[in-house]
Amino acid sequence: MVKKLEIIEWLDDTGKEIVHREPQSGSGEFRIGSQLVVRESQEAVFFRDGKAMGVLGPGRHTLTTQNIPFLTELVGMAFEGEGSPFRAEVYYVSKKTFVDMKWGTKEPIIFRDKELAMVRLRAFGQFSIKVNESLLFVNKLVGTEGRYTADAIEGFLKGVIISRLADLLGETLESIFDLARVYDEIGTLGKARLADDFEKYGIQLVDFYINAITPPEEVQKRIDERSSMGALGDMNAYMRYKTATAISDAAQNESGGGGAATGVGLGAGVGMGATMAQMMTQSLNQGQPQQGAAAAAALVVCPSCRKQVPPAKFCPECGKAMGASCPKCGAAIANGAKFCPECGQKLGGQTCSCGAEIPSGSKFCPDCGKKVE
Amino acid sequence: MGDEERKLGFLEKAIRLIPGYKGYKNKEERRDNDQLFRGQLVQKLDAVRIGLNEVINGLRGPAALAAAGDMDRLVKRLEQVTDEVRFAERGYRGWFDMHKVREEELDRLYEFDSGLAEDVALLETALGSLGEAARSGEPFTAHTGGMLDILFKFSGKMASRSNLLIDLERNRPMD
Repeated sequence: MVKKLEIIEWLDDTGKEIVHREPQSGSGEFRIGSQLVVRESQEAVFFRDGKAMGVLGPGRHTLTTQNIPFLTELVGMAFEGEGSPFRAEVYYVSKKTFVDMKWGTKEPIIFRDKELAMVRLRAFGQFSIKVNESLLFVNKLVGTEGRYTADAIEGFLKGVIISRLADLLGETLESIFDLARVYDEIGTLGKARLADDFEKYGIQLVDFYINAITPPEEVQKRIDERSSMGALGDMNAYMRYKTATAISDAAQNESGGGGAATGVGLGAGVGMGATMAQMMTQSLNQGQPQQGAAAAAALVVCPSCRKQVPPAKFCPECGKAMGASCPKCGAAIANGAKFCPECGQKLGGQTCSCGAEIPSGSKFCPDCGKKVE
Repeated sequence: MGDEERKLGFLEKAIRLIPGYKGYKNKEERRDNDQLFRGQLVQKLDAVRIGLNEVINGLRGPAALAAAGDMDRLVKRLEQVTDEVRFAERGYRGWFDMHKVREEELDRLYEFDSGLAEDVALLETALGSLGEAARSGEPFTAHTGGMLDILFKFSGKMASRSNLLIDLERNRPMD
């Protein structure tokens, strides 16, 4: 049945429709002179006899079809109720920007990180699109559907984004620790990289934002631990911190409910405590022998009180003068030295009548106090 | 732009005989003509945007990251200018508005938009230089800066466009 002269227009109530076909189902049989109204945010692709005749911009357009009054009825009679053979349809294309479309990784992207080796990354963000080439879009994606919404294409576009982003991250990023300062840059490069993929379907990628790129939870935990370690300063401090945390945890576990669970908790706590203690001992032992040796090398024996004291002019224990000086050059000489370390003068050789060795330059025997001759 | 330049159909001629319709139609045709011309400018500006995307896509590694900030700013500014041209005022005032829009004002609007073609040509040339610099690995901050300058001037011009519709001398308040 040939329709009367009509006014064709489309107003989208849902805000989700990208393309709307008029009529929505069946073949259109608009009469010659029908008025097509296109809004500023729309374009209309006019199909006549199955051919896309052109894209009509904003305004009122008088359609020219072969559905001429009387003639159409006459011709239509030959088709036994199938109506006019002169088909005419209009595809309205919304040219507005569809914002707040979301993308995200269903499966993590494997990323080779310079510092963390292989990391699985999850990413998500937002993007917005608009139809740039109505004819291309209708012919390539919509076909003859009566209605085409943003949701229908979102899944496909998400897939494209993820695939390109994985490639881009691998090319530009060395470590996920750099991410914070290059989010915008990756967004810009991603938008440019994706533009071709979108535009071949007549779609323009208007905005592309990365909200977050995150490693899995366990990696995040390790990163946090490493940060804590850095904040604490050194390994010993970190181990002490870990031991204290473990002991505190074990203590909390012990005071929990009874039964087998407590036993397991306690056992685990004790086991962990033992391990921690061992680790702590190891870490402490790593430093101690060296420190002990260095300290022993630094101490000297006071010739007066015979105690091990740090080298000084006077003994910090008894207050008496320490060591002696070279008789030739006057340089300080450690106890028991046979030669002056400065001038090589032979030292010592004198022994007191009591049997004690008298340091060079000494006026009295350090043992019995007898005056040196 | 006059009727003598193109042949009108019988119906088109007849409808113009309706009192008042001819003036309405003349203005409407000027607006449509201007809109079509701006549509061509938009196409050219879109081509510049695609060209900029090509430049970005041609960069790799640290160079790409380093240039991304400037290029992003440039592309966004270009998109803004493109929309300013695309959605520019058509030139319409209501029936009893004091500042009427006549054929002369609409002609001025068209001349103004014709002048924008020179700025678009400047952008196309600048894009060529930018592309060459990027391909040869030279720093191209100066080129992006140059393009931004052109775009800022372009925006400034577009902001003054609506002034063409106001003729204060001719539309003085009546006593």
